[in-house]
This record gives sequence, structure tokens and C-alpha cells, in this order.
Amino acid sequence: MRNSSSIAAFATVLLCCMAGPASAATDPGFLVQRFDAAPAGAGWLTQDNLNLSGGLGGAVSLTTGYAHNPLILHSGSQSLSLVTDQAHANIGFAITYDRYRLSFDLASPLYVRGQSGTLAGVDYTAPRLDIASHPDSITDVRIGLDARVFGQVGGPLRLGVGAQLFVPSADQSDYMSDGTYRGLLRVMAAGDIGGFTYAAMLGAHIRPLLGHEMAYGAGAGWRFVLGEATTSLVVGPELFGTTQVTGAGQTALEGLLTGRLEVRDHDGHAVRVKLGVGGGVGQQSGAAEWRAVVGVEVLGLAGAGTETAR
Amino acid sequence: MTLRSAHNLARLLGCLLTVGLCLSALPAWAQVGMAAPRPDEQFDVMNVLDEHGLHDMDNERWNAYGQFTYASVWKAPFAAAYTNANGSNNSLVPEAERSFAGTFTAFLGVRLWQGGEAYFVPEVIAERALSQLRGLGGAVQIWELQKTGKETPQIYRSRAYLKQTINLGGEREQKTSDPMQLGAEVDRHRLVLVVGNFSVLDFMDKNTFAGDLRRQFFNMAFMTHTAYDFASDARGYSWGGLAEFYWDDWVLRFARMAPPDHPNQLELDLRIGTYYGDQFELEHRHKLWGQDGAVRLLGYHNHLITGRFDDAVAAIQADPGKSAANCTGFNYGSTNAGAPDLCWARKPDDKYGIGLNLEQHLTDDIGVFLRGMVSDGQTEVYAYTSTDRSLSFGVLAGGTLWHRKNDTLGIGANFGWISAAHANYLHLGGVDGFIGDGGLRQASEELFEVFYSFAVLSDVWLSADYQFIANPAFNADRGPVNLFGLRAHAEF
Repeated sequence: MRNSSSIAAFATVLLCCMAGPASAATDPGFLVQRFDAAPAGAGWLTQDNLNLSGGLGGAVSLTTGYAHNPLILHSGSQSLSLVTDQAHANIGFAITYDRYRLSFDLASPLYVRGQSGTLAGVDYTAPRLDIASHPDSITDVRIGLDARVFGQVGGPLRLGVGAQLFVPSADQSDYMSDGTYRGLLRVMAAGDIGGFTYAAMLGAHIRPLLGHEMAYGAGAGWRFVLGEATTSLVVGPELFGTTQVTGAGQTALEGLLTGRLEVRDHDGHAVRVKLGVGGGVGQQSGAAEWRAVVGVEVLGLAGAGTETAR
Repeated sequence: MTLRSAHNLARLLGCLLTVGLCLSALPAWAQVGMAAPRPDEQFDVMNVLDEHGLHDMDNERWNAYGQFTYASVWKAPFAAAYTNANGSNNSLVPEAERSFAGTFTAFLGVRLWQGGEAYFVPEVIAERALSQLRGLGGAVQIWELQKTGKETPQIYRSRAYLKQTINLGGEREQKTSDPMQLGAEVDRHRLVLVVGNFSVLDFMDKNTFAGDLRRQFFNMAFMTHTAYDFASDARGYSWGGLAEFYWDDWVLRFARMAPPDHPNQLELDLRIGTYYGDQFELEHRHKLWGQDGAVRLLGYHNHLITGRFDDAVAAIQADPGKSAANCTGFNYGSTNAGAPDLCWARKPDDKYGIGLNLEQHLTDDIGVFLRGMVSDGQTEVYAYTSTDRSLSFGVLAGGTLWHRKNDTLGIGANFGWISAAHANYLHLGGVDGFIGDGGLRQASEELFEVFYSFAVLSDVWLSADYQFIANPAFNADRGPVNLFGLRAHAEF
């Protein structure tokens, strides 16, 4: 549960973002979703294995998940579960060449519900979306460009840099978008030491609406080779979060226990099935009480970064 | 059909026949109108990868194509005895207007397993319709205006579906690599199952010469039968399932799709077991005088919560308070206090239609098409156009004759009619999803269109277009309307 005494600051941030007198204010909405699926072919659910090499390659992914209570607002002794249920599906695709990757991610809301109410003089209207009411919606589109700048595929340390642009698309009032462009600049590290594998990132999330954020994340796990070397299972935790560096200084941090199974065929093509279960760590704004994520990746061409292909 | 429309029809038929015969007598080499498939010589990403040995277009694991189209149509002022009379609100305004539609589309496909394919098609659209898409029964000047976008570009997911091919034997044939089609060899006897989010027009009522309106005609009347009220959301897509059974030159198709929650709206009613649009199609491909052709018989049955025209009229006759101005349920905003409205008549009901679709190459470079459909015309438009019966035909000719083989010249006509019940409802001032001038002097809505597409590059076209629409919204008291259009289209 959230610490109720500190969330009032979050509402204050929202109030600051609104035009007009606070007594008649209606919240215009903002992006609640804190889970950004890793680019297609990146291996982890949220992190990037930086296994970028080879000739022209490509990958596609489908990631779907559910978050429970991703946004509870508090003010004094009052609280409001503005978003109680949030299910989504992300479709990602990526083109890789040598050490570079151009990726796209398009997410669609599947089911979003919440509770409307008034808190600290602000009227909040809960989102209500599903496939019937929004049969073709796409939320903010993510375009990413990443590069491995140091280290080798399969080595103990790889470093990378990346930039992502989020193009506003969904309705702000549905709490699916900030309604403005956003950007993420990040540095990444990943490596493999025997069966141990890890990945981490640190970045700057340029977010004009609610305040710029420091974004960070890490994942670590152990790889089990199953049967022949064409199948492997990686199990371990992933953490991802943000801390506002302007505005109210809120932190949103979530953890997932993840596992991914990868099967590679004789042509070097691979399929990954990924599962993650977890939730918010400590007091957060916009972090889910609990979350479950399932993902599938198809790596269509050689060089797209399959762990067992190293 | 009135005497006047019959005269116009005969005049147009004669004109088209003359043009077709003149063109067909000329030598020709290249195919025309094969809009959706991408010729090998065309410059696109997949061809480039294939040429460099980085991709096998005959046996694809994935493909990606794209297109950009921007079309603009200007409407000249026209005469109208009345516009939006007595508070009805669905007239095409008589003043000069400009409309436009711009789209950018990515077609992404990936093979998941043997015979299993997934497709995902995001699209960005910006548009402005003439008179907010009101006042035309079926002859909408740019077909993409039916996607109900805004002037500010929006991205949406037009399609996301799974497709499974089950080979059943027979000879083998090669499916070419195209948008929403992975290159693969398949049996000529096969069952194809599709489930997900798509348009029924992706698979049914296709026509080589009147189908891909980004390359061909501008007007929506040539996309499918204007009387085909296929279940879809306001953009023309829906969720559902489809089965195709291929047996050599025969194909049998069946699809069930979810209808919109309210007529012509984006929201869908996903109770697909209760309310639905069913359609079946029987297709036969043939060769006539050595040239390819096809015949398609299409039927549909919608079971929806819909309004019957006669019921709406009966409602206001029984209780004058049940007028368009007093609607308490879903309605189109008419304030005509003396007019009937479908809002008082909606209940679970059925709509039926059956149509024929013909295409025939006359030479390798010239082809003709014809579509005709009859719907029962007793209930309101639910998803497509207000037309109850339609007939369209035309000819497309490639530019080989004048040494511009990638250019295309097209001439076509569309005639639309409404039922007596529909006409009576409109005459009394009622409105449906798209039309209703507050009065009506019934006539057929007639469209004549001619366009020329100039191939700037192998896959970039600039097109000029003229459209003449008589009796807009089936009303002889208004029009005719002259429209002039330009279009830029690129594929990659």
C-alpha cells in the first residue's frame, strides 16, 4: 500500500500542470503506464542484452500485461484509485545491422478501468477503455535507436547508448498519454559471465508535462541450457523505475521476477517466450501494486541477438 | 429508376463501351490495375533485400511494405433548392469546399510457424471531408474519408490478425510477396482461416480494376458495392473471423464480423454471437479469350440493433412527439421537429443483400469491371453508405499505348438507388447516418469519374481526377456537383 502522507505532492504536481482556477479544476490526464517493453529482440522484458551483431537482422515481439492499481492518488487521509486495472498489448519490431538497432513499439490498451472522484479540489475522471470502445487505438508510439559501442556479443561487458522518441497518440484524458512528445536518452550495460547474465540502463526521460525524470533499470539472471544447446532458460529479477528530477521528486520503482525460454532452430532463427510477475517497490506514483507480463519474440534473421547463438 | 437516370445510364454505358472497344483494339503489354500486388521491378524494400541476397521473397519469414497517399478534392459551388431544411442536418453544403485525406501505412507480416502468419498494419491518417461527410449517398469523393479521421494526423491500428493456411493438396502455386501477404508456395486446394482485427474487404469483394483506390479511382463508390453495408467500425475495420476454401479456380469465403455499437460509430459491439454481420462469397477465376477474369457472388446478412424506416415513420404518425428533435437515444443531431427519426425505431432486426462482381482483362493492359448489389433497403445504414441498390462499372487502361506503361487512365460510373421506404423517410425530413436534406425528390445518385495517374517514378504517381455527381443524396432538387481532384501516391 502507498504511504498516504506523501502522495499529496503528486496531486500537487498535477494541479500545477493544469490551467484555470484550482477550485474548478479537472485533471486533463497523463501517462500512467510505467512499463516500457524492451525493444524487439532485446531479450529481457525491460532491459537490453545488447547482443547486436552480424548483418541485416530483424525481430518482432508481442508483449501483453496486466497491472493492478497502477495509480492511487492520496491526499491526507483520502485516497482515490484512479486507475485500478490496466491491460495492454505491445507490438514491437526492430531492424538490426552490425551493432545498431532501429526499433518501433506500438501499444494498444486492452482493458483500462478506474474510479472517478475528487481529491484536493481536483476532479478526476477514471479511464474506461477496452477493445470494443477503442477497437483500433495505439498509445504513444516509441521509436528507438540503439547501438552497442563497447564489448562483444557474449562477452562479460557490453556498453551501449540509445535514444527513444515517444510520439503522442492516445487520448490524454484516458491516462494513456501525456499528450506531448517525450524522449529518453540512455546508456546501457550488459554482459555474460558463464551462466550469469545481466543488463542495466541509466537514462534521462525528458517529460515536459509532469517533470523530467531519471530513468533506470537492471536485470540479472542465470542461464540454464536445456537439452541441446539450442534451448535455454534464463531466470532472474528485473527492476525498472524513474525518479523526477524536476517537479515533486516522486519515485516509481517496480520489480519483476522474470523467466524466458528461448528455442533456436538450425537456421539460427529463434523464438523467445517471456514471463514476468512482480509489483511496485515501496511508495510510488504510477507504479503498479502488482503486474504480470507475458512476451513472445521472434528473431527472424541471423545477427538479431539470440543468447544461444553466441 | 427514373427515365432521366435510365437515359444517363444508357449514355454512360455507350460511352464506356466505345472507349473500351477503342482501347481494346490497340496493342498492349503490361497489366494494369494490379494495385495491391507489387511487381518485381518495382522499387521497394523487399525487392532490394531480395536482390542483395538478404531476403527470399518466394519463401518469406517476414515482410514489410509501406505507402503514402495524399489526395485533395475541390468542390465547385452548386445549385440546391434547399439545404438542411427545417432543421435536418445532413446536406452537402452548396458552397465551394476542399477536402483532403492523407495516409501513411506500414504493412508488417511475420511467419510464426508452418502455415501460420501474423499481420500488423498501423496507419497515420489526416483528413477533412466535404460537409463533414454529409450529403452524399455513396459517392464519397475520396474513399479514405470514410475512415473518419481528423485534420490533425492520428495513428491507429488498422489491422492485427492471425492467418493459418492448411494445405489440402492439388497443384502448387506461388503466393507473391505483397502487403499483407508473405511469399510462399501453397496448395491450390487449401483452407485459410483468419481471426483478429481486419476489414472484410481485405479478403472479399476484391476487384483488380476497382479495389485499391490509392492507385485507381478516387471515389469510394469503386471500393466495393455502395449497397454493401458490411459490418465494421467507422473506419471500415472490425474484429471477427473468416474462412476461405480454395479449390483450383474456385474460392468459397465466409466471414463473421462484429458490428459497431451504434450505427456508423467507432465503438464496436463485440457480442458477436448475438449481433453480427455475416457474409459469404463464391469466386471463380477464369480465362476468356485468353485473358484473366473473375466472377464473384457476394451475399450478406446483418443482425443488429437497427432502425426500420417504416417503423420510424409509423412512430411519429402515432405520436407527433416522437420526432427527430425529441430523440432520447442515439441520433444524428437533427432538430427537425416534424420529421421522423430512426432513434424511435431501433430494435434487433436484419438486413440482407446480394451482389455480383465481375472483372475481365480485355487485353494485358486493359480491363473492365462491373459490380451490382441489391440490399433489402428497409433498415438504416449501419456501417458503410446510405445506398440500398448500386451498380458500378468502368474501364482501366495502362499507358503502354502512349509509351507510359506505368500510367493508368480510368473511366467509371456508379449509380445508387434507395428503397421506397427509405425515400419516404427522407421525404418526410428524416436523416440517416449520412444523408437527409429535410426533403426529397427521389432520384438515383449518379457518379461519373475519370482519372489519369502519371507515374513520376516506378512507384510514385501523381493523379488528376474529375468527378460529376448528379442528384447527391438521391435528391433531384440538389446538384449536380462538380469535383476536381489531385493525388500523390508512393509505395515502398
